[in-house]
Amino acid sequence: MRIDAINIDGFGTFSDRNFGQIDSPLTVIYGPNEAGKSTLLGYLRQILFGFPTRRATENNYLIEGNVQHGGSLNVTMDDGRRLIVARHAGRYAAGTVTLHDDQNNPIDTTELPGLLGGATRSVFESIFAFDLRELSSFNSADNEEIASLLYGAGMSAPRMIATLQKVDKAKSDIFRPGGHNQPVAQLLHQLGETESSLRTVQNQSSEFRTYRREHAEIEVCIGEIGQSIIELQSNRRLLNRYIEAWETWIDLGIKRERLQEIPIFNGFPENAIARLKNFEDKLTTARESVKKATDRHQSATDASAAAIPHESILERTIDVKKIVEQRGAFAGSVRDLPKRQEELDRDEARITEDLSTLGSDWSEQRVEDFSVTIALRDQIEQSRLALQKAEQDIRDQEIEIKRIESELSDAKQRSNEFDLESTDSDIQPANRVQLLLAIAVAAIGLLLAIAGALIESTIFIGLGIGAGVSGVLFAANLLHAHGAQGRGISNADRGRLLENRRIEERLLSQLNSAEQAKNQSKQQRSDKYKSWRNWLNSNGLPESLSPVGASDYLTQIDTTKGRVTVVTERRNRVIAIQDDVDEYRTLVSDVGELVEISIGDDSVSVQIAATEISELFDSVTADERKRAETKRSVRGLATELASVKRELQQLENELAQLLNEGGTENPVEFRRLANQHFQRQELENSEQNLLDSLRHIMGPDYDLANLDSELSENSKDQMNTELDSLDSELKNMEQDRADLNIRVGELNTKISTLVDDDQASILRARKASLIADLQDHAVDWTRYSLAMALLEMTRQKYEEERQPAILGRASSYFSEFTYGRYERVFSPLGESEFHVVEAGPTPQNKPTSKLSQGTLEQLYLAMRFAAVEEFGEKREHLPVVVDEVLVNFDLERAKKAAAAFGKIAESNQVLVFTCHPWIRDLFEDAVPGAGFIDLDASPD
Amino acid sequence: MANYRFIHAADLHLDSQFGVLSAEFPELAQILRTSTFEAYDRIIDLCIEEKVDALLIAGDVFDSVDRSLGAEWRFVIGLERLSQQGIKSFVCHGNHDPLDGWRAGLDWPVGAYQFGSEPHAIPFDEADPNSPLVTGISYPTQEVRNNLVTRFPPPTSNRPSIGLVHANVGADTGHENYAPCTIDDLITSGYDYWALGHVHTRRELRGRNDGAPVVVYPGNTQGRHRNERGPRGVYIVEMDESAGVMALDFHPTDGIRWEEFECSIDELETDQELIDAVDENVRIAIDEADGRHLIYRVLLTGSGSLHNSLVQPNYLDDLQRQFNLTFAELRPFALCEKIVDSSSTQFDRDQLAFGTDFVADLLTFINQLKNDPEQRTQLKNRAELDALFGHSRARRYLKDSDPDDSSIVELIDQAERFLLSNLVETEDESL
Repeated sequence: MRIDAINIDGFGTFSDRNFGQIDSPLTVIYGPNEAGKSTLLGYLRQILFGFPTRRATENNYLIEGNVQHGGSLNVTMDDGRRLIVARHAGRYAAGTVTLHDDQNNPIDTTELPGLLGGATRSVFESIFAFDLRELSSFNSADNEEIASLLYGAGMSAPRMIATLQKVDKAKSDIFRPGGHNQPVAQLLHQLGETESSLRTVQNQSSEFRTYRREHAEIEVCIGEIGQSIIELQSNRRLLNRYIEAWETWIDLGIKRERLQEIPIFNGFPENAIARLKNFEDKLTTARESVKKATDRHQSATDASAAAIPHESILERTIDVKKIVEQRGAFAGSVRDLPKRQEELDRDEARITEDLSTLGSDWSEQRVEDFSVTIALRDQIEQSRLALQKAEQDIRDQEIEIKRIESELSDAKQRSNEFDLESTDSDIQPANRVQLLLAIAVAAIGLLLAIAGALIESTIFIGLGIGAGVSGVLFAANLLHAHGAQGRGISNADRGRLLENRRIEERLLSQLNSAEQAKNQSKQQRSDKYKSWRNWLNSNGLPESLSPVGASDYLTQIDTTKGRVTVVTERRNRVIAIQDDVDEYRTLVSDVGELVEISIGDDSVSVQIAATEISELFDSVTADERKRAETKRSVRGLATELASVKRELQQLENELAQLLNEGGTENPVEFRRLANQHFQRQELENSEQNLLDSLRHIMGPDYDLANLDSELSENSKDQMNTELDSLDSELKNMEQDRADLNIRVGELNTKISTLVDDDQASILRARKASLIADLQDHAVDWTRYSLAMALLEMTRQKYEEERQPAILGRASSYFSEFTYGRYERVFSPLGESEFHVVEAGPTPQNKPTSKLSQGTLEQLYLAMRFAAVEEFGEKREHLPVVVDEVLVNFDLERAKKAAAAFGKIAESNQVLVFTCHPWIRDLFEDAVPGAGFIDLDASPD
Repeated sequence: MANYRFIHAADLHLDSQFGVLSAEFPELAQILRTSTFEAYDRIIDLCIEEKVDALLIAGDVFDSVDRSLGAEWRFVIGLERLSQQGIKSFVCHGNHDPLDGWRAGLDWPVGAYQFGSEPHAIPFDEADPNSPLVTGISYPTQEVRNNLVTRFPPPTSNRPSIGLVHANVGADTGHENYAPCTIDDLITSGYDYWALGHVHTRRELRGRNDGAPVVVYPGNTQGRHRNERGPRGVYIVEMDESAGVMALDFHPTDGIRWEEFECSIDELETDQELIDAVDENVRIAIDEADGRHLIYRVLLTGSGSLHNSLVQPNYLDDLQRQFNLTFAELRPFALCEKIVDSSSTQFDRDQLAFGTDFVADLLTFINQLKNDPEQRTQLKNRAELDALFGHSRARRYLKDSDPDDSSIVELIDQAERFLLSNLVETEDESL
């Protein structure tokens, strides 16, 4: 954008003033003070970016009077468009802006910021349109947009700074060298206090050792005192014993003196007198015993040799025992025998009767031998049935014969009726032959049958009967045929006649058969009876018996047989009783004879004799037993006698031995010596008792041999005095020991207190806790310190390597302005103040605050040029308007600056306001083609 | 054939102090303060219950060189309980309780043996010629930098041999390199079992299946800080006079369990959601602690909108207080010891690093730092950490926490998250 013309309607001192045809790239607008250079600068800014608000500090250049505030600018854009930007006071403080093209066509005013390359008022005022005062206030601008130009895209300097401050604060809040209120300082303080307390507490350890040492020393001391007390107590006990032993010891001396006077009887028997007396008593007793034993032995020997009357009965001891045992049985038998005989007689009579009933040929023996078996009874029953059947058969056949005969009679009756009607004709000769033959056949048959019956051949019987019957039938037929032929009756009658004849023949035949059968049955019945009788014979039974009778007969036999058995038993018993009676009598008689006891014939005398024998036997047996006992006692008495004699001898020997031990054979002398010996023993016992007492008093470990020397040197009183002294000493020692024990108790309490005291432990815990806190804080502080270092080092690196391009350009301009004295300008990160680097072997870095005003202005001018170039690279080239910015430059640097303006003017329109002729000349020299406007000149 | 059983313990650190929150929870301070003693009492109880033949303690019975009177007193009481049961105890001392440290001079009971500064062998049972022989050595002073294992005599043949020593096998970098030795030193020693102490994390350097010797660090008996997480306890070892180690069983003895769990903020949008998520983890950890007290650390990870809240000063402290309001009142308690924020912003870090602005340069610089120790050193110098870590009064407390290179890397990550959350405009802010 270039400003071609400035048309002011009213603005500050200007009213309806136009500056046209500003067509040079660089135009110096020259005017003295008050000519309106600053107003013109303000006008350009406000027309493009709006009037300031009333509250703003900026001059609003309001004009008094009726002139409209504002005006317009004719501009040519980089793209060649020519526009008119007009702004006048309006509803809003910023005024009303209008935009027209060169044909006066209005353009939407919203395009204005775009036309200005997006630059804001502050950017325009900071970089493009500024005066001398604003030139050096450049770095105070905190405008974000400018900052972004100067500090680089994406970098938020305030964040970095805030972070840096935050880190620094966090770090310093933990620890700061020399600080007192930070946690680390406070923890160190507390640690110091805790350690101090710990040292105090740990001094208890030395107390502990002191106490322990004292404790150990006292324990040794107590031990020593204890040992002394033990010794003293031991001495005291000994002294006490001496005192206690005193009387006994004196007594002992007396006893020993008396012992000296009595001779020593070595080996004299102990209890001599008692033993002698004892021996003498025993001897007296023993001698009496020997006498008594001798008497008893003699009397027993005599008694064992005496005889016993009827001693011989003992040889029949078994028989006597039988007599005694069987005496009761004998009496019973004698009493029982008649009754038994009577029963036997009665039974025998009955049997005789039974036998006569059975028959004369029956005896008891036969009855006994006869065996009535079931088989026998079955045979009888079968025979009975067979005979009954044979009888029945005959009766049946007779009834049949009667029936046939009745029918035959009827038939003959009918035939006779026919015969009356017909001629009786003779039988033809031929027929006679035939008839005779038939009779012969029948006769032969009969003979055969009889013969069969005789030889018991059914074949012959059959053949006989067959021939007989055939013959009869044949003959009958012949007769019948002859009859029939002979009658010359009508055919019908003849038929009936023939028929009747046939019936007759048949009935006749049946009659014959029935007769034969009846005969046969009779024969059979006869046979059966015969067999029955044979059977009875064979079994020895009467032939007259029918089967029923036979059965009863058998029952009779059975009954009789039972009675025979009973009788036999009774008979045997009677015999046995009689035998017993006889045998007993013989025995009694036999034994009685031996002992002169006689018996009569009656059984009573036998019983009396038996009793006498029994009593005699008992008497003899008792006498014999006594004698045997006496015999046995003789042996025992002999042994006893020998024994008491031995005892006597033994006693006599022992007495002699005792006397011998006493050195004499005389008991009287023995007694005298024994008395002396006893006295000595008494004394010795007393001595021993006294010694035992002394040993008891002095204790088992004391050697009594020392007692004499100990006691003989002291009196009892002396010893009592010594005892009192010892008691006193002991009391003192025990008091000392008790005192020491109290001290040990105190020390133990103190040691326990120290041992149980947790103070040290608690303090150490506190110390550990404080150290842990300190270490935690140290970690936090380290982290913040490292964060700080990271920020600073990155920042340094960044400042070296990543300065915005704008500062590179600025450095170039600044170096040129200063003839190479300063080689670089950079923006320390996060700082609002730039730094410059002064060229030299060791480049010096200094903040802008250290530069002179002129150099500072040169720097800022260089930075504006750089910014203008930077801005223009991508956006509209806005005009650069400066007001007296070179006045503080020395001439040489001003020349360089002017030349630089000329260079800028190649891209951006440059308007230079100045009141100084040398500056105008400077530009004239430095920038060929520069335009000049004199404000004092009359307006166009 | 007799079997011998013993308990191998180490690093009791009696009277250790816990550097957590004790100021805020005085009641818990008492529980924490007595926890090492209670673990010790549990060991004694276990010895008696299991009727073992001996208790072996491989150094660092006490936490401080100048052990407390009460600590030594309680220790001796435990040994007396064992002595009354006829159980032997064998103790060697380590860098925390060397022989030249203060001692109250309490008498040890019969059957309790303390090894001196020269290796010495003592049998389980004088009367039993087959019983194991324990050879041990104690630190004469705290600073033992030479190999103690090579000073052990060859074991007596035909009886089980146990070496008892407080040593750093293979120069474990996580621990002070006291009495260093190599695993080969132990393998070639001829001993059947090496009862070691010093490394606080349980390790079977050579197990039962690796052949003789079995080499075991039982770890300490009670975890005392966040790096001593999980079960802590002792080993019950069964030895046979011919077959060597028959059984090797670990038994926990700790009464307070330390845990750390991660909680991702990926899906979380509100404070309440975060509290719920942590609560859930705490309840699981309480269950796993099996009736023990729990001290836990929460590691917040992932990325999301909550991140910017998390990095604000005091936010995590307030959150921690909130958890402890809920759980520290319980018995057994669950105490939040610290909440560590490792979460990141929702920004795409790669995209941010790809730009040309300051943030991009910062991330590029950090990327370089991660691969360049020299630059890290420059950063560390620039951060002037010495101001605190070299501070005349602070340095002795901080000598163990002066950040090493790996800590610096971690702290750089944290610093980066903090810086990004402040430097980069979020969507919320831009609205």
